[in-house]
Amino acid sequence: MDTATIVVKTVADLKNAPAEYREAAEKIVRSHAINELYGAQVFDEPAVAFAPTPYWKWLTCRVAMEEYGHHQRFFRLGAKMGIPEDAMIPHKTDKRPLSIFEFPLRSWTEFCVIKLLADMAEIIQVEDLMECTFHPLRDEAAKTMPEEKFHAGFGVRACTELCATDHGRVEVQAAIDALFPGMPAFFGASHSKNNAIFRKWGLKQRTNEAMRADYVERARGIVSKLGLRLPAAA
Amino acid sequence: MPFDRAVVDAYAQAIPRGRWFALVGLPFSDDEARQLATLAPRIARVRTWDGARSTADDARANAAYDADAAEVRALNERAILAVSPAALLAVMSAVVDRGLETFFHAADAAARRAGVADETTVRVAAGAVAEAVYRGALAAAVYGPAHRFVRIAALYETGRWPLARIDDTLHVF
Repeated sequence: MDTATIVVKTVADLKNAPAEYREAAEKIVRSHAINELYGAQVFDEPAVAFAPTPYWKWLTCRVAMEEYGHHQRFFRLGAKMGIPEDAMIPHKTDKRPLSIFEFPLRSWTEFCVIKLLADMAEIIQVEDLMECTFHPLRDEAAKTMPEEKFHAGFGVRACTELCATDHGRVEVQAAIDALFPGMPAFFGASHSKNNAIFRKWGLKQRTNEAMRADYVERARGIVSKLGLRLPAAA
Repeated sequence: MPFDRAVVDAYAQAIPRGRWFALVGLPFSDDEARQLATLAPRIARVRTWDGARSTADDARANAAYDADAAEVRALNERAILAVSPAALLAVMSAVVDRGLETFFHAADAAARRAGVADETTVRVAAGAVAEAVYRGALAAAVYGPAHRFVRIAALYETGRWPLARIDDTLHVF
């Protein structure tokens, strides 16, 4: 197999792929398994307590379950690929979750802005995987996409509702100002060696820089529709 | 009382057999009325999905919801006297796993039967039943079948959606 033509249709076929390809695929699957679970643990589950009524609490509960379900999908794929289970569980592995999860969630408004901005970043990552040459990973990405889109839409609706009052608009802007500077780091370093390997094998299609630029433009568009603005990135 | 993990497993196993949301909007049978009377002094029937949405979105329901959340914390504290937090998480995750697809599809089917295509309220319903069954399983495993969470979970299992308790009235869809 060469880099131009490689397509891996099943997990069983992965053993015939070059070692660099296998390792790269494992890195991506591990990262998704860890971060989907960690995000549910540090953002979605705690947000249930912040939600304003049972309606929003139950919706948040469901969103948390869906994020957990995404973890399960990548976890099961990783297990089939031979990745040790502990390597895909936050705090059981030495691989750290993404830095965005260090954001200290303190309010319902912040959670809604996380859904608005962080889930859009996730959508951009998942969109890229939907062209992936490792088809089991491509297929899992495709399955998660409708729910990721719903989660981001949830952020839009909730923030729109909050912005209906002057006080709410001020709070949403403050949450954007606090969260957004850390968001571009979600896409990884510029000139990333990992990303170069992912693209070499068609596991990913775009550079971190390109995805980041796309994200900032989309974020700017969605925030401006709320009548708000993006702060400078960190 | 020790934490009885077999009870939780039984809850998880029973999820595919539940009649989730099958009776929403319909009048209460005499048996149901008797059961409901054990849960609150007054019962109000919610007849439509729009009604369910507005009832669940009523901030006056927060006091009862918060009281239930405090009870969940107390049950968790009792459970981890018997099992480690990691073991508790692993056992209870079976309920979440088993309900993930089932609850969503049941809520979606019930909403569609009523001509409602509201992806958000379907998710609210799926979240509500998941939370109730989780709490019912936890309460049954820690406290036994007399706990109110067990009776609430049973109400969901027969096809109802208890939406909110506001003052002395339980609103049931």
